[in-house]
Amino acid sequence: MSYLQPWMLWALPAVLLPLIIHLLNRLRYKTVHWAAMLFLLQADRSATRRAKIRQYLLLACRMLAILFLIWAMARPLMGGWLGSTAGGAPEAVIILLDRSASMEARAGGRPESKREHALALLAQAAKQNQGSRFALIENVLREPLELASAATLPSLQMAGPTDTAADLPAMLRAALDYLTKNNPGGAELWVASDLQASNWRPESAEWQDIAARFAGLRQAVRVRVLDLSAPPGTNISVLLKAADLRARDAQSGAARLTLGLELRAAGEHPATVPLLVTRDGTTSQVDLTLNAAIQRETLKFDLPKLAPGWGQVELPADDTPSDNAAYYVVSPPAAQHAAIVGDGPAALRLRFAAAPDKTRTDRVASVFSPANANGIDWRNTALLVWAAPTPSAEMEKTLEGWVENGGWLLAFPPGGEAGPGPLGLHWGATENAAHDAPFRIAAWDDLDGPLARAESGTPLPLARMDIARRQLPSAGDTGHVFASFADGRPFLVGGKRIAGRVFACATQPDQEWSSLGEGVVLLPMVQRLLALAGQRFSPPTMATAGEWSPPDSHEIWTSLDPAQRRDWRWQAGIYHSGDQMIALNRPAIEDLPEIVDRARLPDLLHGVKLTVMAGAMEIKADNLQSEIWPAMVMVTMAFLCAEMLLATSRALLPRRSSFPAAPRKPSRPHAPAASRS
Amino acid sequence: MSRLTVSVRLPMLGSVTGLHRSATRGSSVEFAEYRKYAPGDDLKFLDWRVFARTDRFYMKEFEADTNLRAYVVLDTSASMKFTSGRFTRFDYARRIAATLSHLLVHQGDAAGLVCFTDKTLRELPPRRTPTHLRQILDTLSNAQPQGETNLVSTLHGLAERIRQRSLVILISDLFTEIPGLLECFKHLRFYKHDVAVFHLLDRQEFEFDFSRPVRFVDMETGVDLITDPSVVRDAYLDALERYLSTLAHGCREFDVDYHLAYLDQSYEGVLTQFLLKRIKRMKGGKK
Repeated sequence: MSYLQPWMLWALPAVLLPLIIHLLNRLRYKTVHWAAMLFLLQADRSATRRAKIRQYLLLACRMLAILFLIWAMARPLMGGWLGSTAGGAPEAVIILLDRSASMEARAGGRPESKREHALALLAQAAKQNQGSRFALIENVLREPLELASAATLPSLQMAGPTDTAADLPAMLRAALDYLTKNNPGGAELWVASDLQASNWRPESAEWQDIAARFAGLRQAVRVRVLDLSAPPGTNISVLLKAADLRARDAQSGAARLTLGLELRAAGEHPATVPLLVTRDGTTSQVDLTLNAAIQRETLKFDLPKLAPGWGQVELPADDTPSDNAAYYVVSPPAAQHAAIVGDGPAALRLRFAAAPDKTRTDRVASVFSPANANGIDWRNTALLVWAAPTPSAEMEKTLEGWVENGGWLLAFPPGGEAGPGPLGLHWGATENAAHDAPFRIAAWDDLDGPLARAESGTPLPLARMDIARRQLPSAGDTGHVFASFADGRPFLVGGKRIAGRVFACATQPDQEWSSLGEGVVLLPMVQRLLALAGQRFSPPTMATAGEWSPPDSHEIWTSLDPAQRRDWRWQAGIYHSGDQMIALNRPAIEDLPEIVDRARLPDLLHGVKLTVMAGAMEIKADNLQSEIWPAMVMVTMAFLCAEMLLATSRALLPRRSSFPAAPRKPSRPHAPAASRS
Repeated sequence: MSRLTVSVRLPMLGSVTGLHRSATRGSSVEFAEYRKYAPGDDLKFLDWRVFARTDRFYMKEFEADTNLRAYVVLDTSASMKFTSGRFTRFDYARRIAATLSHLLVHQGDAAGLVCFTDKTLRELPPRRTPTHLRQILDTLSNAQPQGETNLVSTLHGLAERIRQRSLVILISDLFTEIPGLLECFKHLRFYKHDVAVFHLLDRQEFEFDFSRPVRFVDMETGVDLITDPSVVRDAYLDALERYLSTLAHGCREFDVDYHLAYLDQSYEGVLTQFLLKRIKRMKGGKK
């Protein structure tokens, strides 16, 4: 037996209160000079055993009533038949509903989506636990919502479809917070999910923490997982990877819209699918030939003028309607300024890397000598490339303020001995490689960051770079190593500085140092850094549903199509607020088909009573611990009633023979007195 | 109440003429019975009418009226100090004693007083004079309840000492063993004394309405007992009930005029009831 409020057991000595009061009362007697001792001594001798037993029973009833009251207040939990008899249904049932985009898939030939099917099963199962308190935690807000009746679950707005992703570990943490805060007795967690691996993140270290928190709960909690991982019959999904609007001809003002799509096909599907492309309300059809399960397509549309626009791409209906559409909003690119501080050919190469096409107005790069660095237009500069010796103290202070306001800095080594670099960077001593054994880069982060793969999936040729000279950077403990040499030393490090970021590269784009200046690595690296750094100068036009929120919470964002009542908090679409527009799409991870093997769930929730059910919720009585305080309160009431009966009635004592009542004092002074003669 | 008289239920043997029926035949106008003529009888009591009808000689006899000798026996033990109200039991008892003495002397009867504890403390023989009444009242006024009771030996001694038929009025709480007490009554009745008993009880003794534990101290012996009244109350009331029932039954058996009085009752009312009842019984007896 365990207790939810074990500190209440400290009050157990209060059980002795009736006994202490009884003894104190006996000690606090009053003295009476009595004449009729003859009868009193007889009565004391013959004070019946039953009267004493009655006294003892009274004391016992009072002590037991207090005992059970304190026991009930400690909220004991008990398993087995006693727990199930006294406790009944779990006090709380927390429903964790995965209503991510993937839950809109229809599987098993059912007409309803997995989410709708789950809601129907949950509502049906809730009828078996009428006495329980239900709370809903869904994946968008992750705020527990108390349900007046679980039967209303299918009609709840908060159980409706979304275009968001689910974070199951975060939802379980929210449920654990709820359990810790409300401290119910017996509790069950009903998880309805399609077990999508991208939502469950089984490799995450969070699961150990979650299992530990379950083990730390005072009450035993059962987790029932409703497995809805059956794959849909046929599905083709479209994901908009990029939407780019650029000037095509500076003189005519013509523009080109480029849409980067990713198509995923599962099950039996036609070889060619018609894709409806909508641009500013005008729809056209593009027939796409599907050659692979995952296929990338780039659609280019020539536009007569460079102007903001919006639209969507849409596939024909299939078993997963939520992944058939993607939305975009494009606007003319804003000019992104880069400043290069340095001398010589390395500075020129860096300027070329920042602004390779002089005809494009969205990339502007300027070279400043270290002496003229004060002339940089700090307000409009997105990226500063520092390929010069350590800045002066005054320049250091200026750089610090600029980075803290969101500026991005890329530093290259100055050469020479070890020494400090800009903004707290530290350079090691210059190292020269052997003539026939240049330094090689062996590992780098090709998933994210400035060295990520190209859109086509081709990795950057970092491994082929020849590096003859290097000067190792150190960005402190908070720095992230994006690439490292074969000997494990860092090639490119970077870290966050309040609103901005600072990166440091171990070699210069100079022929004497390395082949970095050839551009195959330098160009995409600088371009990506410049694009990311320039984002702060132009508001985003595309974001992920469920992750985006208005920059100003007072702004009202509504769907561009007034016929569709969409909520930007969880639904994809095009929204606008005044002149601002944004396209929200479902998260890319919702298209990933991998699911968590149900046999792995017990490992994730190690030590937790877990039941995985497929297709139906079978709620059966088990040996879960239940709270038995209601039974304790009933026992307390029973003892109090017994005490009341004992104290007020003499049913247990032999009835005395009739005893003539003594005459009361007459109201008139000379009224006849009673006589017994 | 001064217009009421103290009457007796039995013929008395007084020394002078009085209000009460005598055990001997006398010269009053009230016919008693006939008896056969015997030589030497005064012929003026011969009933000539009967002789004319039957030719036999019958003598008419008449009731004799005599005076009364009354003993007021007052318990002055320490238990008589008990009270839960304004007056102690002893105050109540001596008011009854004084009133009865006053009535007796003023109706020409002799009143005596016996104050006792475990022994006879003071005994005033019955006399009819106002001076004697004052002496009784002085004795009552000065008496203080103290010591233990020995009611049985006192009453037996009194029964032996009284030589003439008398009215014995006992005023006490009667907290003694019933069999011994009834033996006393039997003893008194054997000598043809008219016995009346005023049994004085306090309301608290009757109801025993204590709520908290109490240390009871015997007023006579000092013996104490700590007990929870709620535990012993019923047994106490049972014992008291048995005691009162046995006493009342014994008094009826020995023709003792028993009166139970509570201290919160008016003593005038109790006495009036007592006197009226005796007067009524006396008239009924004459019929």
